[in-house]
Amino acid sequence: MENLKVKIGKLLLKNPVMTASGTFGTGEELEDLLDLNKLGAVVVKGVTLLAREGNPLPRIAETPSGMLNAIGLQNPGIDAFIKEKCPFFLRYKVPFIVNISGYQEKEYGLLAEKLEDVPGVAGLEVNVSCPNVNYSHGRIFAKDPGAVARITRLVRKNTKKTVIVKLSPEISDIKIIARAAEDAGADALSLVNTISGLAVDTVTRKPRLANIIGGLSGPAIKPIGLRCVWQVYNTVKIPIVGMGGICGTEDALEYLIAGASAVAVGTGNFIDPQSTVRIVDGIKKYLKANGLKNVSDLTGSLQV
Amino acid sequence: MRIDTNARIIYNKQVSGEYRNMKIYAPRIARHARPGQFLNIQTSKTGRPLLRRPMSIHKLSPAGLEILYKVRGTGTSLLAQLKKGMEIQVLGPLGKGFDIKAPFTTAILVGGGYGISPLKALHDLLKKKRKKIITLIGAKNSKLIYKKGFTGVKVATEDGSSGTKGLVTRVLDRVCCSGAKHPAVIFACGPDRMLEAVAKIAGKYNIPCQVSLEALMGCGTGVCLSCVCKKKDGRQARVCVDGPVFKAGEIEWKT
Repeated sequence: MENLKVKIGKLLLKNPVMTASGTFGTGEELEDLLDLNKLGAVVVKGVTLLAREGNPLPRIAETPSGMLNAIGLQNPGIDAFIKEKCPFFLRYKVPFIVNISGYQEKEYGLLAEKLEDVPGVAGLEVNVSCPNVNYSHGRIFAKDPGAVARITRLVRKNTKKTVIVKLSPEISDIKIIARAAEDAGADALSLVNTISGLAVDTVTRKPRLANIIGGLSGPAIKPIGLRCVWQVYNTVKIPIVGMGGICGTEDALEYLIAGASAVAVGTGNFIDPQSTVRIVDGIKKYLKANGLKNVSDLTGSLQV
Repeated sequence: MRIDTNARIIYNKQVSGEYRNMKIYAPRIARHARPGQFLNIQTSKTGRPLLRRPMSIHKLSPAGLEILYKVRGTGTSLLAQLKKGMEIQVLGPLGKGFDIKAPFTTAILVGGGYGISPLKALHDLLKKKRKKIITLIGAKNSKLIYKKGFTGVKVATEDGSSGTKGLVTRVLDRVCCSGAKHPAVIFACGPDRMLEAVAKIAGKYNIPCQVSLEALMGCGTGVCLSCVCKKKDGRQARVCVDGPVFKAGEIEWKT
């Protein structure tokens, strides 16, 4: 019997397959299409301190082997989120990880505090890398190791739950940022967020997104995600959740071999809402076919 | 209940003007489907295009579903190449369809261009229920008019190549004001600007009106938040799960 269990911070996941934030709602939207309890974890749509309407439409544009999105973190705000969305988490055994975003560093601390006693919240994914919102002073936290460290410490101080920090690949040396998050107390790292891009309508000569720039996701970014995972795997000791273009088993295996302890499916959920459960089965088959007992044996097994 | 299944193609043919009609065998989806709902169809397994294509259910039978489409881009041109007997991955039925529970005797269907598609399934159901049906079809030109199988048809084209010259909403205004056809309900599908004009006319004559919105979608299942629209109560609705059919009075139109 193959052992698919993986440990991410304090969480022992039954398998390494998670959902990527913003591509799966809270899971409630898709519960008729798959059994959420078959997943390693559900990472829910990002939440901010105050409600956000999100960006004007169009918010997505399809690109070769990928898509751009600039949703703009549409969400009801943390208080309504806790009241209206979190009770759903108690209906399943699967761990729910809440993705949090702030405009100012201190907001991350407040969000962690508010979520600390909410039943059913198993962990926090700290989003310092959304490319589609204007952070205070136009800064992107993920590019500043000092900001990443301060935010991680703030969250760490206010929660006993598992803290996963989600990083951007748009940085000259991702190893520096990864180390900053690890040193500040992160339990794990999510790699990678989307990569900012542009698409142009040649008839109107307008950008295809109302926000002009959006985050690229899908198979197009997989090699970048894999490269980041490999570099960070060789730098930090904490586990990595690999993501970026995972649509099928083969993609997930690549990430595990490159150094990820778990993987998350994002855009793949739009194409096949059952892709996560198919990948769980696929990994199981791969382990069996290759005579491997533990999925954790795959992590970082890249032959170089 | 939504089902994701591999469906066999029964036919896929050119029908009239620029329109093509595909019928698939998908009894489990068909059993749950209602007029106004849609399907999300995977046109390629190669990742190009990456996303599925949302398509209105054009006609419904116990085991089969039909879509009406025209070739517009990569997805629809791949769809046009599929042959009888081949299979495609289809997720459905999606969204909320038309509501025909209220008592009414006359249905006024208003379709703009491709927006005529979901009105056929509705038309067939209303006919079974012995409602009087008036079908108003508008488009830029005669090539974009699809009227096969509809009853009580009046056509309007912007270039005058078929039916009345002008907008279909002008025909609607005439029908509504002349008609002692109450109690009536208007069911409309088409571009936003047409729907907004239809909603105004419906308001003017105090006729209940349902509109089916078209929107660019990422997932079709309510998770990506790309297809939101504003409602009068200030909330945002997702066209893919809260719609695509809304009461016309609920929508906060853009202009």
